[in-house]
Order: sequence, then C-alpha cells, then structure tokens
Amino acid sequence: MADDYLYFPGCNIPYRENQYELSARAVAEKLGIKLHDRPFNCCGLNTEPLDEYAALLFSARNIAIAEEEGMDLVALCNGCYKTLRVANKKLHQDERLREKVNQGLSRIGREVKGTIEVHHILQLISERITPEHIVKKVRARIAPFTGCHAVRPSEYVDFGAAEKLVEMIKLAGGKVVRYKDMDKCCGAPLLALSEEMGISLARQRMLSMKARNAELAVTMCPFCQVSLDGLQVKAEQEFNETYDVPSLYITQLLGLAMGIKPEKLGIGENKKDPSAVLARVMV
Amino acid sequence: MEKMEPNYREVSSELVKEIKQEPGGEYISRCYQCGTCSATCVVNPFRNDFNPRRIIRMAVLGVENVLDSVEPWYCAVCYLCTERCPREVKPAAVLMAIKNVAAKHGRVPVAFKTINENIARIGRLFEIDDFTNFMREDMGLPPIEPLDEEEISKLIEGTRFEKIMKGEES
Repeated sequence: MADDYLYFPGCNIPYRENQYELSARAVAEKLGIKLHDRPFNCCGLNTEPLDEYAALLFSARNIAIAEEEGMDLVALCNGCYKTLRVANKKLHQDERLREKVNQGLSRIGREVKGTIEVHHILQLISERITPEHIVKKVRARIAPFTGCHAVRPSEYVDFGAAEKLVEMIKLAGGKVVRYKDMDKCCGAPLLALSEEMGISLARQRMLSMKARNAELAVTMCPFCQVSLDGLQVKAEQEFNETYDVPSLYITQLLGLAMGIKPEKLGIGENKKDPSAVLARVMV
Repeated sequence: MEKMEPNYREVSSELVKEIKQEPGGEYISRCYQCGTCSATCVVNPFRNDFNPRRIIRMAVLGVENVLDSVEPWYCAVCYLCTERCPREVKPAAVLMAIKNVAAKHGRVPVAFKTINENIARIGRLFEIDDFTNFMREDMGLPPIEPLDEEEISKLIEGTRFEKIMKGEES
C-alpha cells in the first residue's frame, strides 16, 4: 500500500488548472505512485475567516474519508496542503478538539481517529525520482516559486519545499535563479477584495525574476500559477511592460525532462505560452 | 465596510476576551507593538491602512469598530509575520480570530460571503458542471463527482457558519 494515495483535487484545479492534475498524474504514474479518487469537499481554507470551527469540519470530513480508505492524502495545491495538514496535526495532538470535531462529524456518520498523514505531491515525487528517470534536459534559467503554504506556518508545514523545488529544477537540467521573492505571497489571495492589488503583487514577483534574467518560473500551487501565469499576462497589459517569464508547474517541468509529451502535460493550457522558450532550451 | 477610523470613545473590555476565545486569538495580549509584523507584511506596501500592528493595538484597546473595518480581511494569510514575531503572537491567527468575531456579529465583506455560498451548498468553491467534466474526460482525467448536498448541510448544521450564511448571526 505504500505507493497508494488519495488524490485531493481541491476546488481550483478541476475548475481551471487541469494541466496541473494531468501532469502530476503522468509523472506519478512513471514513478509508481498510484493516485485514487474519492468525492472530497473544499479543504476548509475559504471558510476559515468566517468560522474556524466549520472550516475544521470541512477539513475533517476529507480526513475521515481518507481514514476510512486507509490511505494518506496527497494535495497538489499549497492551500489545500496547508489547511489539511494543519487540521490533521491539530486533530492528532488535541484530544478535546478532536472530540468536539467528532461530535460534528457524527451528524454525517463519520469520525477522525488520527491514522493518516497529509503530503504535498512535490514531496512524494522528490522521494522517488532519480537521475535515471531523466531523458531530456531543460537548460534554462529557472526561478523556483514555492509560494507561502508549502513553507509556512513552519510549525505545521515542514517538508523542506524550497530545497526540494531547487533540487528538482537541477535534476531537470535547469539553472536555478536565486532571487528575493521565492516564498512571498503570489497575490492570488487578494483577488477576492481587489484585483488591482493581486496584479500588483504578481507584478512585483515578475519584476524580481526578470531582474535576474529568469527564462522560466516554476510553481507548485494552482493559486501561484494563476498569478505568475494568468496575472502576468494581465500585468503586462496594464503596466505596459514585458516580463516574458512563462511559468510551468513543477510536474510539467519534470514531465518534460522525463520525456513525456507536452500534450500529455497540458502545456498548451498555460496562459503565457512557454513553447518558444522550451524550443530554445530543451536538449 | 469602511476604512478604519478608530473610535476611541467606544471601547469595550469584552472585545479582547471575545478574540481570545477564538482559536488563534489566544496570544493577542503578548503583543508589545514592535511592528515587526507590519514591516514584514507583503500587503502593507500596497495598502497603508492594512497595518497588522495597528489592528492588533485597536483590538487590545477594545476599540470595537475594528470589527466594522474591512482591513483585517486584507490579510493574505502568508504567515511571514507569524514566522518573525518575537513574541509569538501569531499575528495572522490573531487577525483570523478578529475576522471570526466580526463574522459572528454579522460583519462579513460581501466577497467573502459570496465565496462561501457554493461551499455551504455544494461543499466546494466551484461547481463542476458536465461541460467541465467533458473537458476533463477529453484530457484523460476522471470526472469530479458532485457531493451529497444533504451531507454538507448536515455537516454544518448548527454551526456559526450556517447562521452567518443564512443571515441569522447574533
């Protein structure tokens, strides 16, 4: 069972970022990671500002289903990863909280016992991938972007995402661009209240990458990708600037390096077309 | 909801107690106003009124109209302040607690209520319709099955969230 996981899609990926799931499944299959599907609800993140207890109930329903199936959860989205991981750890550690949450879950005939773990797909991939899996090199200057919730709050989220992302870029043949904004907010959380501010934050990230001559960015979260990819296009129009740093999901980058066809990785779905850069740097 | 104009004439010693009762609000009184949170904040350079140090000060002083302000809702919840706070106040969690108290009293910005409408009804932020599932099938991805709406409404039954979404807050 060690390589069987329950895939947690979250809300964003199936709605507008299917290329992340497509590329993650393709890479996972090559590495022997089996992903299983169940009907999960929102991780809980969106409900936290209104009612943290209800948010915890949303997280707990997902965790309870994973426990029923006897498999760990794997998330592709940093937001889902953080929310489920924090909830799971709190429910493991705090017996009174677990009792309170289980009271709520009893209304739907479910229970959390504390028997599973929550992982990020990057963690599972980085534990299994070896140089033997790499058949092509992406010889570009690549800016890694972890975003927030793969690295913070460090009290709960602690798998070394930044180091792993850098390691994966090197493995794929890329040159890692060091810049100051790697783990700063992408801007996406601000879109709800102000699109202008979301775009402004995304623009700042693009300018930092551009200043270090990055040719590609690599993300590990659909929110970060929406910012660095979709909002990059909007920022270029609004500020009348050109950044030209197409953004790939880490699973798309690794997939290319593993020799998986671009159409099997959904490269064509990315808003900022990376094909010109890729044609130049792939060997 | 308005920009924050602190009204020092209307203060209440109950506010900080209420915040401390929320998960994450526990450590608010540790704050010694060093401003590390505000200096660290990625949102503040784009919106000066979003100043976590100031919001926390208002709350500690019991300036109740901090609950009427939209400012706490501008937090991107990136946790940079939480990592750097020398007093382990966990400012992002304190702001979350302030939002929870505001929500309890029916003060939720429309955008945040809208986001939660689908979640309260179908359990997810976006409804995955037949067209999206058809596109997924075309890409070779399995369909996203809808959830049992009755299970979702039972899950949130009696919670503050249910009341907030129905507009029955205290």
